[in-house]
Amino acid sequence: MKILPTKQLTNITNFLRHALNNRIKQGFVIGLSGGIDSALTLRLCIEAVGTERIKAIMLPEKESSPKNMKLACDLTEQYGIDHETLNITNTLKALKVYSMKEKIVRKYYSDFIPDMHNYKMAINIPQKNNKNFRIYHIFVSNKKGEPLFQKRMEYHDVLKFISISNMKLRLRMLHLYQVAEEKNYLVAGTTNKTENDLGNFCPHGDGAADIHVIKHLYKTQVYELSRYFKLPEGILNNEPGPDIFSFYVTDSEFFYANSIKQTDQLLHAYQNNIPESEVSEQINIPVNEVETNFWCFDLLVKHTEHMRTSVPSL
Amino acid sequence: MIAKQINKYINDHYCFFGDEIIPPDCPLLTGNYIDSLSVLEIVCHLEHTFNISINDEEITLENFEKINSIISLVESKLNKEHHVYSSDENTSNETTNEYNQLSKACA
Repeated sequence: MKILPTKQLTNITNFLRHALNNRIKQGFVIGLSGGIDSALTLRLCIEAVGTERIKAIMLPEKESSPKNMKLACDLTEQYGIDHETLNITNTLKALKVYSMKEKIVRKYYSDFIPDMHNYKMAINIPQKNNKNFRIYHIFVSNKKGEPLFQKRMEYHDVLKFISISNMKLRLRMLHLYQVAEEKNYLVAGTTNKTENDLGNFCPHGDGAADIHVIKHLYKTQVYELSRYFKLPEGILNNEPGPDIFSFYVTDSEFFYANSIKQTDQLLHAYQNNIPESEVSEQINIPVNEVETNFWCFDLLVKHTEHMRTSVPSL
Repeated sequence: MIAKQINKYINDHYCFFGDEIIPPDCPLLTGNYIDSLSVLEIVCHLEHTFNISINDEEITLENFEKINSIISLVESKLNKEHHVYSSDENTSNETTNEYNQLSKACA
């Protein structure tokens, strides 16, 4: 899984320059979240076309992590690029995103008060060596982050919670495209290979882009290339997560049910048809745990295939 | 009775095409009848319908792979919880028989 950073840099910058030429566009718009994917995407776009042809947009809302916003703002200052911050809280309020979510949270925790509590949804995989289905739990904490409540969510609530949360990601997409069209720029996508191949992105939301800059890189390779570029320590050490709930949830808790490193090792082995016994020895986990993970990948790949393919038509 | 109810629920909810009937021994996931999230919907239905509690550890492929495995899970839980239900026959066989009858009727 090792990459050659210099080779990656050459390939990606050539790819980005050709994309601008081919489409007769003048630069790139990037939605900056404070996470490592958008930070690396920004850096690669700068390497390709310089700082003058880049616009970074920060789109925080009341449930976003303030720490992430600061990391994003600091990065724009460090690179000296054109940037804009647009708080989307009022639009999300008008769309009833918060009230609809709070209604679901109160169904499980009737005392929920947004000013006093935070909430998140995360998966629970009770046994790593058994073929358990992905079960979503709702978690409520106080404002200090101390857990107060946890319960399994019902099917329709899970679907509704995800669909409402995705409205945040799709609203951000609207703003990115508005700016891109106004400036005759391309929207640079920030989805990585791990997210793409397992379906950890929102179609027409954070998955929407004119060009995908890092979609060929596993998340651990994103880290490797980011270290090569010496991205700020705050961003390198920031625990990745979708940043869509008031109680911060990591990607490992929300989707992968594994560390990023192990997810990538297993996914790489799965995609390259490496036998389970060999994988077990390589990464030092029991064979039945590898089998369970491969089974889980089978389901995720199959059930998110529609997100990676174009809309069917006759 | 349990088998009949579960069989009907799965077929009503996840079998969309006219005469098709999901065989009780057909894998529901690999047969493309349900996805992994649908299992949560089935769990919720079973808990409400049979007044049982299914914990996270029990939401496994083994227990939800086929209609017959779901029936076995519910039966074992009802037996454990000392619920009384009337069934003189092996309910898994009962489901298979029902499926055969339905298939003949549809043929």
